[in-house]
Amino acid sequence: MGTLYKKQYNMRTLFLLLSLMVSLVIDVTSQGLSMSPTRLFFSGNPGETITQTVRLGNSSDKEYNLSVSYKDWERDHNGNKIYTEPGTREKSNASWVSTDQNTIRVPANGQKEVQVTMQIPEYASVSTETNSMMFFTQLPQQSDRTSTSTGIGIVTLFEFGLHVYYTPPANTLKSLEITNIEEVQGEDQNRKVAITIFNDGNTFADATVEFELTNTDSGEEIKLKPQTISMFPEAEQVVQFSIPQNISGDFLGVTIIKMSGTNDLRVGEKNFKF
Amino acid sequence: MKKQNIIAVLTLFVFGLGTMVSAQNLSAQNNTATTTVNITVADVIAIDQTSSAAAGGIVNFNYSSAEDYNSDQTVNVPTSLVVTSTNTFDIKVKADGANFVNGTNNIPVDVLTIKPVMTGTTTMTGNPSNVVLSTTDQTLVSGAELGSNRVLELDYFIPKAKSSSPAILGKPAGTYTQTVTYTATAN
Repeated sequence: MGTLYKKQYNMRTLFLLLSLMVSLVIDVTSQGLSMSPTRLFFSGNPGETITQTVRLGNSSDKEYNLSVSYKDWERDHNGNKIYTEPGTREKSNASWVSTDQNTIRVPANGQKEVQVTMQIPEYASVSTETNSMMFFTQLPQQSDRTSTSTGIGIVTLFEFGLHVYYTPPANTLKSLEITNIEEVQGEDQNRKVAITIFNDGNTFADATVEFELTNTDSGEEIKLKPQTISMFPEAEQVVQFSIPQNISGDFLGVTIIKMSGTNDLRVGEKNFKF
Repeated sequence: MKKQNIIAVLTLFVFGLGTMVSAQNLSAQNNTATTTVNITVADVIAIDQTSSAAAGGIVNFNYSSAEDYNSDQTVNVPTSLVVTSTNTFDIKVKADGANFVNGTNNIPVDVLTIKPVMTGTTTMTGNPSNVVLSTTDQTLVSGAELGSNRVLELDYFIPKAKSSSPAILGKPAGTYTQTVTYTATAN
């Protein structure tokens, strides 16, 4: 009997796992117009040509036409993206990238695969990372017309931005350093702790930044909501955490940076008096 | 997409049957079964265009009386954008041209301010910013947390200071149109 029970248990586990997988598939693909992945990472030597696939899905009953365009971009001190025209930044790879279609028709209840090709030029640096952003922009249709007779009509459309990164094969060092921790006053006049991080590696780095305060008298711990960051090599970024307004006393602040793709951690600490 | 779903489901079902048969065969010999289940999680960003007013939507301001010109006007769109993302994401906005256009007559797009409403129907988190419309990509919401069907409610606002100024007042009658594009990107 014991053996039979074990057998049934295993079968039930299989059914449960399969059901879970089926529900996951349905959930991910039932969300209107979608793009996957959201970031493309290319790596290769100068002169090589590499192709990757992006999938655009449409679960609606309406066909969508999307145009393709490119821009350069970088991040400001707070990590916000700043776009400029393609080819205006030194580390742009917008001119290296092309697609197999300039206008993409995504049929109703269907999907379209787009081949994105990066032709790494012979002159490409073997040590410098480059990037750009590719946009898939909804094209207006006949029905997208304003109806007002006297006034202002706004037609609203949407687009997806696809990150495009190039990493030279030799660039494998992921390293973020904490260069400063200080209390600042935010634009909303609330107290914040600002953590300055520098990417001293030679590749793009995704990371989660955690911050925790411990009252040095009572031992009370306050964990603040972690934040995710994504940094270019040689970039500096400030991550701010809002401090609860109702706390006072002596606190030890500890920040931990967990970089994705590596087990390396960066830990910084500082004493605060609120 | 439905076809894809069906294919995916059938594939999983066949895979499941195959695994179960294997499991039964194994069980007959050893009375135990093991299987490896791989779950591949795709990196996805999606806009629910049937719910999002911003997907081919239209927002109208009417100026047909003196009162219209002498008052602030707000058009509220409760579900402007409905976004699903597996990563933290940003929403930016830009006008496709510098003016709302009616033939050869123009109204500058900076008469319009777009304001995220972080209460009401909004379930999108992150840092909201009011945007005075221009042709430059400007951040409407940054650092929005990943999630499913994150709703953003917007107020489209034209202040009296603009509508009672020569920017709008005194323009020839007609419809002045421009396209506004919302951009969703992974952070």
